[in-house]
Amino acid sequence: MSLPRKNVIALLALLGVPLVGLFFFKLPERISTDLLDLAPAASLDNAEAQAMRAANQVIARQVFVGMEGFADAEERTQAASWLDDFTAGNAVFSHVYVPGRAQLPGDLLAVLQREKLALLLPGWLERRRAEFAKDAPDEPFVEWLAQSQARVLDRFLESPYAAQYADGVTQDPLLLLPDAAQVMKESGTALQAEATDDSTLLAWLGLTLNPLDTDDQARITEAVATLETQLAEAFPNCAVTTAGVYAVAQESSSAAAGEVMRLNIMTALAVLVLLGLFLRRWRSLLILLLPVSAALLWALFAGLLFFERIHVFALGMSSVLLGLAVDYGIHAEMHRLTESGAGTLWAKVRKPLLAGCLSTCLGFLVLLEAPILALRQVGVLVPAGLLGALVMVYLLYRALGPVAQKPPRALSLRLPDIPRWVTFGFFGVTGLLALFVVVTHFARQDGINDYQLAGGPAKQRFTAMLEKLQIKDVGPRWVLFAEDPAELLEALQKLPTGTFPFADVIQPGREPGLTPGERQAFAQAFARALEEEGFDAASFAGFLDELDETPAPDAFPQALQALSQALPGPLGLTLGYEDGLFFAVVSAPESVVNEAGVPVVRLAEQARLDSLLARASDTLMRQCLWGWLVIVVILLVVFGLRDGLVAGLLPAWAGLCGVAWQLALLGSLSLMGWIGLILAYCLALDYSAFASVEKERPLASVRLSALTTVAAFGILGSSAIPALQTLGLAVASAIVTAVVGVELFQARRETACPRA
Amino acid sequence: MIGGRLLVLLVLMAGWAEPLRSEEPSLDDWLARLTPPPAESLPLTIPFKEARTYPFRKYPKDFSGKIILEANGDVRVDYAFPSAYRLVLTDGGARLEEPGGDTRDLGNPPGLALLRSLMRWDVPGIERAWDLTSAAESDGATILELAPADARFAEKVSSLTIVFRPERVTGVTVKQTDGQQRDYQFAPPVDASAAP
Repeated sequence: MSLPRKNVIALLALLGVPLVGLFFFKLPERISTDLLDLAPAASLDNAEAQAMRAANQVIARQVFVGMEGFADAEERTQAASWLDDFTAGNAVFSHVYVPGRAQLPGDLLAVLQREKLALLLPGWLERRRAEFAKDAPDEPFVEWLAQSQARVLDRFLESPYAAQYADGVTQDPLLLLPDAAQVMKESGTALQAEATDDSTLLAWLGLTLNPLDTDDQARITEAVATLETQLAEAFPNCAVTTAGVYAVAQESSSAAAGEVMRLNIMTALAVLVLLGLFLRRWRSLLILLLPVSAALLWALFAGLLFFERIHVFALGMSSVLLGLAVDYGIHAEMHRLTESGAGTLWAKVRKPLLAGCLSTCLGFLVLLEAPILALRQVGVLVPAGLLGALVMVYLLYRALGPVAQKPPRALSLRLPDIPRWVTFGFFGVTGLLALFVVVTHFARQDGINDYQLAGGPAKQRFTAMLEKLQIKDVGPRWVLFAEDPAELLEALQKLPTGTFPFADVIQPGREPGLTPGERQAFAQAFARALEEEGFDAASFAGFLDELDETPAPDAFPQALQALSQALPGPLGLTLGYEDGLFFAVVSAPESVVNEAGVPVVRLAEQARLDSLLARASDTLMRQCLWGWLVIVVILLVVFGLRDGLVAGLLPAWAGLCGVAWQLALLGSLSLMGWIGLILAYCLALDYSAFASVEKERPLASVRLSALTTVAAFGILGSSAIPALQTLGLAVASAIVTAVVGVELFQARRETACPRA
Repeated sequence: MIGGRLLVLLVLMAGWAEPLRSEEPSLDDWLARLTPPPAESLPLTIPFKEARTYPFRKYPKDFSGKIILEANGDVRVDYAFPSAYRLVLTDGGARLEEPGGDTRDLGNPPGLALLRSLMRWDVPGIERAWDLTSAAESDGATILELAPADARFAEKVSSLTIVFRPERVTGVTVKQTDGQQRDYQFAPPVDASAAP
């Protein structure tokens, strides 16, 4: 092969530009395995999506430790202390949360201490006002408050709890924290859930590292292995189980990478073997690699340009779909080997290739409206790749003429002439039969789990642990959200007791607190009252100064943000903050949450995602019908009325039969099945386009291209990911049907237009 | 709470101290002269008074009650004034019992292992945990000042002063790093049947 210099330069640029771009954009760091990229996020309310991500992050940044077989409560307590010591000495872990323990994690206590005036003072004042109203003393409220609180503080020092809190008294002489603890105890909203039983311990170990980062996953794995070993030595009679998102992510990304690699290798081998068998020319094989390389490079480059991260599902799906780029090369190369006339090859294949490629791109561009991010990425990657491949074919074949070579017998075999009525009868009967199957057996089914590999041991352990911790399958969960935290807290107070543990003590804005003037007066009166009760008021100067200051307008939201970040373990789900929105994830009957008075959405759990996916599938189907009409119009313009109708209707017939095949083989039509049909339609359109323009001989290039396509999608049909399996089966069955239709149509053609 | 636990160990030390030797004794020497209460004398009840000094108060708060050394090794600290409550120290940790019947597990705070070894008269453990900083005699009483050897414990407790006469320890002062101070005065043991 010899190409003009300018073609070679253009060809090198076509491969070089995206290659440099991929290096610049650091592809390996921008591949995502985040399950939420598979969720139909566009259909979610923004707040719901935010809450869902934040809630998942809370769960992701934990390692769950389960221990069973303690002899008694004492050994269980020792194990909890052992975990305290271990995590204190290990940088991978931030804290331990053991439900049922008296001690709160230090971070939470520190936030409550630091933000006590913003968080706890309003509720405390409300309770004191209620007491004042009940006692109805003659003195002003501020004076009464100062004197009664000084007496309360004096008595507190005589209680058994004084020794534990004496360190904090100068910073909290109003005893806001002990008061809050007492209110929560009385209302039954103790911060700590009760322990399950004395023989079992479930603990949440907070992580300081990112569980979705590969390097961090390795460090976490190492730390957890050390933890397991040392725990087994310290408590030899206990069974220890650990689980975490870090392990599930590690397992699934490794499995997904393996699956993508397997599919790609098998597809490449199958296509190479088929091409080798039928082309029997090494040089042709090497030439065919160029459009495929251009397709892959441009697909990735465009993906990185348009998206921050590319999901591994989109990569896997696109890499297989881009195998279609080899079809363009096949059509061109087969013509090059079998043509004998003059002129460049590009002139001979230009019309059907352009029509096929552009209509396929148009078909995939429909995916830009898909509700799933990974599918939208496919909608960019595949058209970009196919256009890259088409340009490569153009550069290669524009300057090349035919190299006459006898085509393989199987590809040049002529079908016997078939009477016109048989051909039309076949199309009519099969079309009607397919329509009957579709009408009578139409069923739809979509599930988010179809887009993932089945869980390995780490995922099974994780699911089992979530169930033990009672944070899964406990009924529908709801996200309550508001920009104003006071509004959200008021809503939470209307929900059943215990939904948000701090609901009884954090009560901003319901009752007037103290005006700046009253705060100042109270600070002075309290200092006097402390002196009278035997205290040294100077020791409380820091607190009194703080009380004296007028709080900043955003003090409460900021304090609540800090609190939400310090809530350990499952408490992190009870109050969250992200991008200006406060939210709480609650489990309660729908009728109750609807009365809360703030916006409520159902948390996007599996059932919710499944229903959104089904709705998305409906939308996509409607869009595809419009897309199909647009394609038919394009075909009519390019090929004229008669050939355009053939090019448009033949694939439609194949698509209808494809739906019937899916319903018969799989029992229902899913979103991925429908996408497969779009793809099959686009491919069949290539074939029918060639059939429309090639009226004089068997379509050797269509036969070879269909063979490789069926082989590639047949392999995809063996995928362990159900969605990819459906896609593979849908395309393979529809393509077989399409090729049969094209062959029959050609045979009818030959009857109508005798060969020269 | 740490004060309550220290009180128990100090009471243990209080009854069985032996006189000072003429030469400069080490902590080891002191501990060698102390013997745990004979098993047959248990349970043993020791009345006590406690004065708590806070850096933010002008004068201390007074408490009183009884310490009961149980035969099973548990130690009960029964406060009677100004309010009644009980601390129970066992091998597994400490718990608080309130008059209403409420019980609260106090867990196993950092100093508890150290205290446990002291209460059990684990002499090697005590030697590891405490350093002798000074020893003096005054009006027939010996005064020992100890400092915690454990760094984490030392963050809370700065010193422990024991005052004893030949027959028993009469007083203990616990100074905390935050400026709080506990002064304990122990009376001679009384008949165990007096314990509630």
